Amino acid sequence: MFARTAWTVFRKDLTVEVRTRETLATTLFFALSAVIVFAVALVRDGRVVADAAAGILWVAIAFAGTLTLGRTFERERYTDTLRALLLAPAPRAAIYVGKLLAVVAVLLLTELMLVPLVALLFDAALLQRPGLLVALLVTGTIGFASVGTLFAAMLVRARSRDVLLPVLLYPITIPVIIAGVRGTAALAQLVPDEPMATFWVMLLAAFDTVFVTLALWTFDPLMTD
Amino acid sequence: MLQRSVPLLLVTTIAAFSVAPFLIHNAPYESTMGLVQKIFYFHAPAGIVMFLSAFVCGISSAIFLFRGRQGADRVAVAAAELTVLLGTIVLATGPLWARKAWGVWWQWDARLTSSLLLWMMFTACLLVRRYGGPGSDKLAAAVAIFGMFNVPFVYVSVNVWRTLHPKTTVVPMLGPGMREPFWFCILAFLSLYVLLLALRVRLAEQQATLDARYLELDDRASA
Amino acid sequence: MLKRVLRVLGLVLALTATSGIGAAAAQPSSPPSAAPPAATDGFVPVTDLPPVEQLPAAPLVLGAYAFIWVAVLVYVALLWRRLAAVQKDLDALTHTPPR
Repeated sequence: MFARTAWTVFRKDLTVEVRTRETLATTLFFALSAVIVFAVALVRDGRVVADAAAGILWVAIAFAGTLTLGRTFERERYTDTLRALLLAPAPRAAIYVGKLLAVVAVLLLTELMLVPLVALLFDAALLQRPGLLVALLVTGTIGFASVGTLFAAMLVRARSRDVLLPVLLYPITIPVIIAGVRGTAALAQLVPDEPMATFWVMLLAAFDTVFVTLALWTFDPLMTD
Repeated sequence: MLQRSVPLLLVTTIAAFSVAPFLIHNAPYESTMGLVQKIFYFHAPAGIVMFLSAFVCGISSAIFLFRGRQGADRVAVAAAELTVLLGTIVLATGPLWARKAWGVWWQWDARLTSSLLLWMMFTACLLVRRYGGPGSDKLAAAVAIFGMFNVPFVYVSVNVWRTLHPKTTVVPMLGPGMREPFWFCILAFLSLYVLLLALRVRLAEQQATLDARYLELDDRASA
Repeated sequence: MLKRVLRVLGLVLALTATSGIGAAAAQPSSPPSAAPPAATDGFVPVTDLPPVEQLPAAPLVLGAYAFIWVAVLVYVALLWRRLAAVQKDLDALTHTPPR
């Protein structure tokens, strides 16, 4: 029952996304614009500041993530379907999991295109250890989205939700950003620092476990009026 | 209970803060940092009480969220506000010390960054309450709980990233003459904290009573 | 009652603030003697301080303590005003005869 509800919500969101490609297209383009802005700031005499690529990648992911979260729930708010979704005779936590998976899927698709782009534009050796990089991206994205999905769901009813989402999300997800940036930077070195990257993946995995549990635990009382 | 202890707390707080300047004034100078190290006697206790306050806020938010106790929500608002106040003190006095000790106003050091982030999380908590509209009390509770659980993650991640601050091990190793004023200041700040918490909770209670009265009058008028 | 308590609190805090700043400003030339232990990882107390050392640090210490006092006092003042305002509204409501 739990898994089926989560799967249904996930498939619903993904179907909407595949049909309109609204979030993916706009988010990707937005991430690209962010990358350009950083290039202007961080490229000097045609050369990139050390570790800049890792930072740019993760800041673009964080920006794109905020946008994706906002869009996903704005759609629900616009058609007033979130209430219907919550009224459905299904475990609330399953709805959260479905939404989380959809956000993570969209973000991973964005990253799939963002990583080669950053690697190419900033001449960064991001793909030396693809396995560890994927682990960093997946655990980081889940960590970012686990907190983000909960807050975005709660902000649907709030007045100034567009401003409040990043205001709440960024300070809490700073560990994810630090781990992502430092881990990616460790991988992009001339000699990839594997133990360092593994440490950051472990930290992200612990973060994911704690915050997904916490979100599942608080989603029900939070979404009850 | 919290309210009834206000007069007693008032007396102890005022007494403690009247004695503290003399104790600090009489404490020996630190060998390498000299006079500027005296900021430590108020800076570190404020930081310790700030972290304590964050946990008070997180725990009372959890009680509010899961048990629906309005009283816990009032404690949470009060603790969030005081966390921000103490955080402001810590973040303002720290750079003044750093300017002399390290030669810069700000360093991206583990302790500094995590204090800044803690301050940001609880400021966000207050912003939600102020601008979130209906249902923002629950959202603020969630932010406080998440913020509380985030403290170790912030600390570990920033710690691996950077470290420069005097270590916590400095506290048990404080020399004689420095130890006593330090612990005294911690007690003084604790007493100040509980006093302000009690007053702030009282304000929240009064506001709740006022809202209830207005509703009552409204009902009577419409009946 | 509460108002009076708060007024006294404000006054005493203000007084202690000035005395605190005063004490911090007037750093004595003869701090009490304490033997400095040979610690490397901690703060080591020292009795004789070169006068050069004292000059630039004093405004910083003064600023820090002044800031703390001002922050706490401003917060207490705000709290006091909000409490007074709510109390006034409550009193006004209780004295309104029911319509």
